[in-house]
Amino acid sequence: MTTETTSLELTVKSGFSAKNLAIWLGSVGIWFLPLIWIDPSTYMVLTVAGVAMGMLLFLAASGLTLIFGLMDVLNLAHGAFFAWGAYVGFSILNRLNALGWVETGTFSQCLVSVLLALLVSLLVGVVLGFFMERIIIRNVYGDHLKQILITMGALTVMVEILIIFWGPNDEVVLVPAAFQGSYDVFDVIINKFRVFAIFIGVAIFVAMQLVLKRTKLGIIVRGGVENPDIVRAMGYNIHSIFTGVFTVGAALAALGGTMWGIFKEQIYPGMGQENLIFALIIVIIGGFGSVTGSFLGAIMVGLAFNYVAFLLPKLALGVNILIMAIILLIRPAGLMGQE
Amino acid sequence: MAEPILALEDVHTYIGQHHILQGVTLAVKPGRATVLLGRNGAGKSTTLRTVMGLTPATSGQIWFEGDHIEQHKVYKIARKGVGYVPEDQAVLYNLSVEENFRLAMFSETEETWQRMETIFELFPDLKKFWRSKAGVLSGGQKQMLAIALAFLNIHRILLIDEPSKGLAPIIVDHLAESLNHIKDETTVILVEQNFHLACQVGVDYFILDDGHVVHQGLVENLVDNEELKQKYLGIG
Repeated sequence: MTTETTSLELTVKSGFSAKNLAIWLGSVGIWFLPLIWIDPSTYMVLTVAGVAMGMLLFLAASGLTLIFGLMDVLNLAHGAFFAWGAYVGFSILNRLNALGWVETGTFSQCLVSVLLALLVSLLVGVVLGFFMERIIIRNVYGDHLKQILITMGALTVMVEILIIFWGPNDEVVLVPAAFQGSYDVFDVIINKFRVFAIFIGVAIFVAMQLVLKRTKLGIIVRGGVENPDIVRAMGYNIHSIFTGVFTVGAALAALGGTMWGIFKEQIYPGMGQENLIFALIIVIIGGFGSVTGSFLGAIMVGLAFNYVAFLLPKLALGVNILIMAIILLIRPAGLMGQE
Repeated sequence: MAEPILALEDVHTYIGQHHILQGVTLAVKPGRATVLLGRNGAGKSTTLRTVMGLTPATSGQIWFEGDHIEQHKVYKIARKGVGYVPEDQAVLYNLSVEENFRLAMFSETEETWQRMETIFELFPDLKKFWRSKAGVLSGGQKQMLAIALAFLNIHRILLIDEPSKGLAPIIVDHLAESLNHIKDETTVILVEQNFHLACQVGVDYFILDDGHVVHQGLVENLVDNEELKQKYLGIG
């Protein structure tokens, strides 16, 4: 056998250019801009709050990154998974509070309470996601219009069922005693639950990255998303794998709902729809299918919201749309999307 | 005469409303390279996709090593030992060369890693670009990667769809050597428009026209049959 292939041409595209460098420097530098108007300790407080909010938004968006970004399924019922997670977490905390573990519990009881609430909401998300994919989504892969219509219907049904169980009113979520109050680090006030939220957000991000980038399962998922026929012809049951990915996406949304409920100390049946908008913005900012992009996008939205809310409160709600518009103007495929 | 490893009997396949395969009947002998020839739109690629289950047959029967497979799911057909190299995008561009190989390794055994060494000898470029995304490889290298992925596992039969499409002549020669190496190990069905390559690799042939098998025989006899080549292949 000859080795004539060495003469074949190869074009390796450089992933790094002066334009990219300028974009990245600008992207990092802009976050120091508020220091012109805000004193450093307040800036640090806002930054920690922004990162924590970003982590919570990432938890809400991470599932959508898998379902919408990676699998290209426009699942508007994602918000319902989020709301269900919040209500399940709320119920678990109430049950454990009756045992004295939440409002008056020790640190370990509080920690177990939150972890248990997260675990149960994760399991409920798994069950809801599994049946949703098997019954509804499987029939509409590749057809966005049908996906929008049918998942909008599913969203309505799931929220109405939620109202049957928990009622239509707002509910106050108990914050475990160990996560109430703040730490004071060199005059920077850091809310305890925000630290926990940052920890959970980073843990989920690292876990998702490891699974998608370092495991055979991750390779199968990424390959299956790009070209399911090739992966099927290699002997993999891609339908089962897609069911698994959708289920994990739904479970992450439910987990995000529980975290969001504790963070906001309040839940209501329509909370899923409101957060779906945030999650969609983050997935679009980050670039479809990029977990890292969603992670960065969520932090950007969290930081921008906090800085702008401090400086120009009336603009806070619109700042996410503004960020999305600017990023899409510079990078139409999003922060980490493939152009 | 050995039993055929793969047999199709009166297979009909539709794509949408188009009736592509209109009663294909053929039998592939084990341990040999069979080429499917014919003009564009004759149904050659659809025959491979139908065997693989990617475009399922609407009627007719397909036997693989004595089992009916026409109702089987794609991954089950693959697990029976049927390998497939599609015509377009036979590798995954967003995965690295290494990840393409890891995906193709259904089980990562000592034997498969030993075969990797052989593959690197056959296709040294693949080792050079091991960590690069497959999407940045040249057309020839992508095709070499596709063939190497098929070579990685020992299949009972390998279906290869137009591997020479769009490749420069020097690369087609290299491809022919690789395909000859593969056919020494396994039964091959090759769909090929490049008659020269088909003759280099194939032993048996079937000519398809309008979704039917219209002629079959030994490639060595077809080479000199100008009338047949002119009538069904448009060459001569």
